[in-house]
Amino acid sequence: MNKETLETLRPGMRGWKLWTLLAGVIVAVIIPHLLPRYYIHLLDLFLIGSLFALSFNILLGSTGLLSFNHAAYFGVGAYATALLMKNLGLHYFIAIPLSMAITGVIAAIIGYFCSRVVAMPFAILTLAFGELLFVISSKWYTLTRGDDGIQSVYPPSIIDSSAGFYYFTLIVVALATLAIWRILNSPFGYTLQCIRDNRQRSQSIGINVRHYQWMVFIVSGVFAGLAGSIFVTFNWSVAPTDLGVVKGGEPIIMTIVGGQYVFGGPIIGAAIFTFFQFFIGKITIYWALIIGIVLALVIRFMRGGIGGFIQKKVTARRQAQQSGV
Amino acid sequence: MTFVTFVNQFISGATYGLVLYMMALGLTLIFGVMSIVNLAHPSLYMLGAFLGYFIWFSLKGYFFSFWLSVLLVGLVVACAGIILELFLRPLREHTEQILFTYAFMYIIADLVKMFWGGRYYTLPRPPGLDGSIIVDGITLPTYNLFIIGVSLLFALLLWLLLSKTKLGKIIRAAVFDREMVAMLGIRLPWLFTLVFGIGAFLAGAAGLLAAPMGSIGVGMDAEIMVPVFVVCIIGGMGSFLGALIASLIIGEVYAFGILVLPQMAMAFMFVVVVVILIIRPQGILGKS
Repeated sequence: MNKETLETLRPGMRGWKLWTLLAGVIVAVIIPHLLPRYYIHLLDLFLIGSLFALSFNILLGSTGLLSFNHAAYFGVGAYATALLMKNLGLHYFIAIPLSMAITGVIAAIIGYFCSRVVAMPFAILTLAFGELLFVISSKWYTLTRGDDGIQSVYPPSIIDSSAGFYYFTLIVVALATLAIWRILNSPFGYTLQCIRDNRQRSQSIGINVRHYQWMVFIVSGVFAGLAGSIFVTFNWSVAPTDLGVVKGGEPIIMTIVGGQYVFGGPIIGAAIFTFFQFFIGKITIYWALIIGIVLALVIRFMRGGIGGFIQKKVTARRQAQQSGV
Repeated sequence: MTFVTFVNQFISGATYGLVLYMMALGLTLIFGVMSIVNLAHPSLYMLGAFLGYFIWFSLKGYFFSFWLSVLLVGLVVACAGIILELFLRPLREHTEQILFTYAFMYIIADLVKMFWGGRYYTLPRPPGLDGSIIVDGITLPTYNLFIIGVSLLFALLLWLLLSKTKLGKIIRAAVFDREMVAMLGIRLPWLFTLVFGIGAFLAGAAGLLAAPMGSIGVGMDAEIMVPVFVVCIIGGMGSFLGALIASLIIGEVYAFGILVLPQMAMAFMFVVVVVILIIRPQGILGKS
């Protein structure tokens, strides 16, 4: 390929990107009218999962903190929404921001302790606090109804159809994704990266590391809580397992398989995870074994996950093109 | 609370704590030498319990079958641990290593489910240890006292290994400065394998030893996971004595918490964790 053709191709590439985005939006809008109900539900799950994993990756990918029970905030958001709707009779759309605030408060309390430590103690401490919330949710029968969970939490009539709920989830997740993207590309986000890359140095140039760690913990928790708020009306119920250790493993798997250092990584991971859970889960009951092996293989052979792999390829191609010019 | 209940709760708390300590020993050793937190450690414990059940029953009738099976289980689980370590070798970053052991947690849990199914097994107490001793009118179960003894024995043996032998010297040097040890001509990979093997042996043996006090089932790894890691954290990562103190605290808090508020016994544990970490964020005997 000679220089002229490459030059003429370049502006075309930009247009091509725009067209893909547009096509993506169109597909996302018309897809609920093309697919059977079951697949729309899977799409909902994928969207909720990607928001959950994105919120988790604010901690892991951007700040370098490994939280082993991020489901705690997912579950708190879900429980808060369910309780506000069932006990106080609030409308779903009012319950969502309120439960985000409640999740923020809980995350602030737990984060206060977790921000005192880093690395492994941090991971274990999040695990311990997650377990504490799990115990509370399964034993405080008068509030949470114990292991039965809270049943029949229905979405309001305006989104009470599979297409309607899909659109609602799509819009909320898209807005939240945009918000997370804005946060990570703000001075706040760059400070987080600075802390991730060199903690001591950040401290010595005057960054209050503990304070930032606390803040990011709350931000991450609030978005996980939002994912939980959507999940509760999707699932029509919430149970203690929704904030257990197993649920907490989901965003970890999604993020690592998808790629923690690429913004879209957790979204790719959520797609793969949802696929595995429902299609591999149909074939064999040992899908956790397969997902464990996939996780191990990705960590061993594909550093940076699938998202990182794609990004590497794209950068390599772009560089090859530039050096060709 | 009468004196008798107090003593009984104390013994049961100490037993639980020292089972945790057996596992914390291995975790602490691995963390100290390799700076790896082995999240699959509770899975090795579960593997030990399941293997123990079947090895002990196939050895039934031989002399010392229980002792033999503790040893065999420990060795088999040590092999599993070494395989895990071999897989871990090419990884350099700590987060990667932790996540890799996390992946193994899933793999081991499902393999156990595949081989032995989801049902529960119960193991009787070994002959000779199924009775109780009466001291001063208080009945004490022999097996609990035995577990306390074995756990402390393991700790003593490990201490002797670390402080009295040449290998122990090398391990302690590796805790202090890994690169220097490698420079002095010691093959670090072999040392790592050995350390991982010892840790896995302790976890496997603990699995079988603790089995007669509860039931063996898939999920017993998740059950013990939080207490074990909590012990390592509040004791101070890498500190053996700290882990001993922490495991006794956790065990006693759990045992007495059950008396006060049975459903929230776990919650008391977290109160202790929070209090200790506010006072000393690096753990009881941890270095900051």
